Amino acid sequence: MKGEPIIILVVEDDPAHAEIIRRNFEASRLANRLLAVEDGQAALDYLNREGKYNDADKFPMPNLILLDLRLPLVDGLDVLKIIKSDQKLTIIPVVILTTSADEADMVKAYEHHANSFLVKPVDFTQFSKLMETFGYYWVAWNQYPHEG
Amino acid sequence: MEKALSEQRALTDTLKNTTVSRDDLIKEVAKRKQTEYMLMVQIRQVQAFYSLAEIIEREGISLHEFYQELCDILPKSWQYPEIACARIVIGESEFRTKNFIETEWMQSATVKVNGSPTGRIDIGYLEQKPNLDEGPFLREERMLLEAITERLGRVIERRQLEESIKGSELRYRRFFEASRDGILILDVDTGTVVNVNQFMIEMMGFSREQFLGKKIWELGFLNDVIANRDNFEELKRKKYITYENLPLETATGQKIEVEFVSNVYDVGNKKVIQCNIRNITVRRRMEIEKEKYTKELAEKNMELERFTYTVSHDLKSPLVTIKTFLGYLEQDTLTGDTRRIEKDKLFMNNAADKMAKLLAELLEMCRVGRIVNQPVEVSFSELVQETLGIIAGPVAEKGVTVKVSDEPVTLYGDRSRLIEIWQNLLENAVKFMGDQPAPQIDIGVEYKDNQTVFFVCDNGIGIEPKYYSKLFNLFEKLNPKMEGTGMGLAIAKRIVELYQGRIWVESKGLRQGTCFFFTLPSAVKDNGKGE
Repeated sequence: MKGEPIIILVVEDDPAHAEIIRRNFEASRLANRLLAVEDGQAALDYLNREGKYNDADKFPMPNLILLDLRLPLVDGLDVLKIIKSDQKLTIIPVVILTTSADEADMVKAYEHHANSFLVKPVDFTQFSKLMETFGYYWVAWNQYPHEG
Repeated sequence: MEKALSEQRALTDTLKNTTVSRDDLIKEVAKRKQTEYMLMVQIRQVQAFYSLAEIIEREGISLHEFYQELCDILPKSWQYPEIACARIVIGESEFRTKNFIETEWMQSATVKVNGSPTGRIDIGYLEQKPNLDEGPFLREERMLLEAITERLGRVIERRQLEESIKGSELRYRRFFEASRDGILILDVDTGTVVNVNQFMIEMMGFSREQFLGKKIWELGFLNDVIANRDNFEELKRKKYITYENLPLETATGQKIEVEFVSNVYDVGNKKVIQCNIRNITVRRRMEIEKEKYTKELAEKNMELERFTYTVSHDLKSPLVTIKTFLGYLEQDTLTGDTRRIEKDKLFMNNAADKMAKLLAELLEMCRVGRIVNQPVEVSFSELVQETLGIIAGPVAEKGVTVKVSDEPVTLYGDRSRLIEIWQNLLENAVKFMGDQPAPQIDIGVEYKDNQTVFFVCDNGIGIEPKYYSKLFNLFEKLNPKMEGTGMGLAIAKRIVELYQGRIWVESKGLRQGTCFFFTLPSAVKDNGKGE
């Protein structure tokens, strides 16, 4: 694991927000590899290596999932539920990164074993700081098990 | 001679004895006279009791009349009726013989009703007479007075009881006739209706004669409760039964809902059954309406909650984009990275556009639920033709063939709102044609389960069943790359619901086309079927 980049699957339907996440990781210069999908169904297909995601080299299992809640096709909470009830996926930490700070969403997310819950700040500096801290914590400090 | 002498003596002795007997005889006569007198007194007393009984039994006599008559006969039973007078005092009322005055020679007794003193009887003499047992009065007269006083107390007690029974009977009768419950009184042995109140007659629309004398199970309308003799026996056995929300049909065929309660109880040594039937139709209707409104309100509340959630999330999202890229723009301006500057501006621009569109559609959504134009009569084909005129551009651009089945359906409602339903569905169908080489849309009406169902079908990209439920949600987009805000179907749904309708989707799956169905119960005036 040492020296290998942390693979992060970003599930985000808004291309602008995906771009913000990408730019922040680039700026942090942390060893990571970002992979992005735009809806909940694509996230599940990716994790199950279904359809166009069957190439394991091109689409490796992520070490961490960054998940938005309001997603087309399959909702973020449903994606989380499926991941956390799937024996081979459940060990992958899922960090919720969403626009709404809705209490009910937060409770549901934790109930379904989300590993962290973050709200996108409506402020450039704050958002940058959040992504920086996130990067250090989850990429530099956090320890991940070896793949399977 | 001696013999004659002794005879003489014997005669003298006899005569002597006879002389003694004469005194005895006088005494005997006096005694008899005394006895006869006492007998006469007793006869008078018996007569007094007889008269008393006669007055009491007299039909229709009031208590006051009774007191006065009693007062008038009392002196006749005393030793000197010609100089006797009487007075009866009961509570505040006083009754006297015409000659009554208070004198020195009087005797009284207290009238007690249920053990408490209620009045008295006074007997008096107007002149002085020789003293006897109690002043000028005899011991027997005291006894008579006490006896009559006691009897009077009893009479008053009985009368009071009768009055109170009569009063409660009257109250019951009034209650029975004025009751807002229908009441049937049944004979416990035969199940025959022995009485029915006015309200029951009015409620069921049968005449009194149609009730009286019938067995309860012959009435017909109570068949759900008592359809036969066996049911009646069971009702008797249970003594008390109650049914809530029992549907009945009146003589005129009107359906009403009632509450049925029956009770077995004693009247004297006979049993009767009372059935109370309360019309709860209005109450039930109000309850059902209340339930409906409560449910509707809860649904509206949930919709509002979902709406607020969606709006706060979806409007905040472009704001995050604008604020963040504004930061990047500042940075990129400093470094002079023109390629990045252009990109930043594009992101900001797109986000602002998205926001503007969301706000416009939000306003539209509010309008749909609020403004109601004057309802008009409009035919189905008119509505469809007008809608096709509005979306003629995109239809021609994609080369879509539109087929409309001409059905003689007439609608009554807000014309522009109704058009919006078809418009949103048609726009949707055109938008999701995919790469279909021969795009086609079918518009029509079908009849299912007595309902007029409208449909808009296409042969476009189709939808997987697992996404059906999300389809009509606000701002829901199954394909994020598609233009639009995901509001069209939400608006269509909202209008359909304004007309108490339902909208649903069917598709055989991806690339199998999509069919939208909807009903408009409160707008369909004539479905062309005469139904």
